[in-house]
Amino acid sequence: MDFPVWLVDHVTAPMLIPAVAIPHVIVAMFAVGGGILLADLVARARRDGREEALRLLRRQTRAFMLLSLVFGAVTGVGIWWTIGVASPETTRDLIRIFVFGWAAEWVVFVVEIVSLMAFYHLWDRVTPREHAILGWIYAGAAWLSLVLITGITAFMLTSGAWAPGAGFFTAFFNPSFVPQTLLRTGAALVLGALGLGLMLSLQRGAEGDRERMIRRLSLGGLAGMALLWVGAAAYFWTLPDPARLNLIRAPILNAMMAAALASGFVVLAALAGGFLTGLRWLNPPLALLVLLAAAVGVTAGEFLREAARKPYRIERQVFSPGFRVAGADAIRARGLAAASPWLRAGMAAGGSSAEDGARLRLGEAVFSHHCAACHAHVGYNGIVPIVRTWTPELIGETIRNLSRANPAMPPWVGNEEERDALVAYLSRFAQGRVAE
Amino acid sequence: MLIPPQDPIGLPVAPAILVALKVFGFFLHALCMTLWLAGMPIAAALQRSRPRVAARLFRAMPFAFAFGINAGIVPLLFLQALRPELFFPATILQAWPWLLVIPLVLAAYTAAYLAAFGVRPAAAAGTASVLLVGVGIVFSSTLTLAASPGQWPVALAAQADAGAVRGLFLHLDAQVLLRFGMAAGLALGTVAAFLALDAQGRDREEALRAEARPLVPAFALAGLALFGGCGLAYAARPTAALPAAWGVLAGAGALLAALAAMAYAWKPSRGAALALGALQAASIALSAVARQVEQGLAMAEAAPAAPIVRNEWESLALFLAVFAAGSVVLAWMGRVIARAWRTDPAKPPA
Repeated sequence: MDFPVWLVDHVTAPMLIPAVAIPHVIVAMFAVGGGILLADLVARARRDGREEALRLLRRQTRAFMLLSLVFGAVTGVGIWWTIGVASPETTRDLIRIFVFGWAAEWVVFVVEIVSLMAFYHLWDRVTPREHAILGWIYAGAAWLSLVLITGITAFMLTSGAWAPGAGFFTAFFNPSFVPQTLLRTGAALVLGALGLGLMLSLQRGAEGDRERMIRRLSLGGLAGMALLWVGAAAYFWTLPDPARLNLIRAPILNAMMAAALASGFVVLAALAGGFLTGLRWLNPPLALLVLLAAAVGVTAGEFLREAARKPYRIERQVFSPGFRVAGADAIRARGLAAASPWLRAGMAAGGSSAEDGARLRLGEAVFSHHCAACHAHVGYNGIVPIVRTWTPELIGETIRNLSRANPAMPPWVGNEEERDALVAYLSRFAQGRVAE
Repeated sequence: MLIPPQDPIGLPVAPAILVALKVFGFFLHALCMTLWLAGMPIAAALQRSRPRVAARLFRAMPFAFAFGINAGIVPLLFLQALRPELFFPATILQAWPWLLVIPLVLAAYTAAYLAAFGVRPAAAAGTASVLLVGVGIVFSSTLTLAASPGQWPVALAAQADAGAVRGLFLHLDAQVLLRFGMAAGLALGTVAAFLALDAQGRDREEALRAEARPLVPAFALAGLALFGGCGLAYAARPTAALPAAWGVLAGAGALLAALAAMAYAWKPSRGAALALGALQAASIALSAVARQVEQGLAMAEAAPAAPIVRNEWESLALFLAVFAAGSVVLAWMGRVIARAWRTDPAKPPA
């Protein structure tokens, strides 16, 4: 309500967030889990004096460094960029609550960069002990970064006892913080094992070393799988009732959960195979397929987390369209247009596709500010197919009882004039009429 | 009035603490950003005529990117915390150009690694240079728009649709271009300082020193001319909010750095290079402070309402604890790295 609304056809602006976040999460988790497993493999190879293994690992570290420092770092900034323009109210609140949490993560990230660069560039120029310590510093910093960011993202789903005026740690140690930390640590180990396994499958020679490494990676991945499932179960348990209901009742989310489970079993089988048979199963296409299966699991998991949150952006604090739960009644009393200067200014500036009357223009603007965060016209959650068979009366009643008709929807906060305008606007698409 | 009201959450501690951290972060970012902004095109241009210098610049770029992007998070984080009511509308009004920064930086960073690894270095660095100019212009534009809410209705009228915005706008005026010009001037000075410091490093060949020597004053003087010219025009704007003292200090810093570059060219030595490096860093610090002071004044004038302060010290304590622990770890790694650099690469350590 406080900021301009950015319209993105077909996908909605907030759906650009997962488009950036999912690739980042996959790479960032690989950077955490892969860092832990690399540090372990290098330390063991150094302890046993296996030079050929160290040569292979050095090449892996170079690819690992490029992926995590370039793609991981820049897409991480990209998420922040995207949430700011797609959900500014949420981002403002998160930054004002967690600004020093993010600042702490920045410090940890500096340590990550220095340690990883030193780990690679000084491979043979520091003592073995120092090199091992550099590897473990990177692994520790990467994991700490995961913990810090998990406190913030978990807060969006389970705000717990936090309310404006409550302290940072009340927000940070929210109910799903520990389960999500377990889940993400587990997922990181799994992705680390699979990513390094894929790299190993592309390397040649040193059969004995590669055999040993693949077994070790598989063991790390299996430990990750155990953590992941314990974390996922505890996570589901800590979800607020509306979020759990969201997951259970929507068929698409049921399918997502099935996809996440199925990918989990595929990955589990592959890791068990790697541990039991070593190199025998390891070839690039298969390793890539298993990694893709894990990526499907992560994608489904991220999608489920986003969907479970509805109708909130921050549970019990901010609704999806960007207005505060505590301020909803005040907006309703004034009307959406009166509460949103950007809506009024946007209408005054023109640019409406509904040129046939002030009421339709108001309805269109209300749609932009109240609905467009979750509904495209045609495309993601498209409103046109939803209302196509409805009558104006049904549209009006649904809007009036928005959160009762569908608990994943926020309450209606416009006044009667705005509701009538929105009904008129949406009725253009109803009863066989299509979007112009 | 389109400026959103202050939110009920407010800031954890007094704004002055966040402002100090923002300036510190901006200084760190500017050190690296100025190196890549001028270092990339210079390396591309010099690859044939000064191959040793170009190679050293190519090699430095991945480090400059890694730390520059990382440090760039800090001023933006604190700006968002301090001034969300100005920052977010500006980024939304030009959402697509603002988001374009991410793929552009990703491509430029990748190109920096390609150049460092010797994969078509001139082409990679040339491409990265063009992309980085785009990134610089978008940054300058967005932060100018954030401090100029009087321009928001213009940006809105240019793209309004259905009571909302399309995000297809880029605010361009003299201020945007002059600020970019000042950054480019500082960047030339940073490259001059880098070349001097690098050439005076241990075990550098004489040929590298000979290649670098005439370039140091040339880049420093060109940088001073660009920085000074754009800076004077910038300060002469009728709406300039920068207090004169800060402008004079920033200009004096750049002038002293250029004089140090000439002194280095006259008689190169490690001491002269260190003095040039220190003066260039000081010049960047003064410019960073001047810019942040100006931005703060402009934003305070545009949106005078003060945020609520929660006086919640626990999160600041957490940050300081992590900062202290991180500094200890970084110091240990710095010691290890410094010793490794002194070690002959042919001989692994005992």
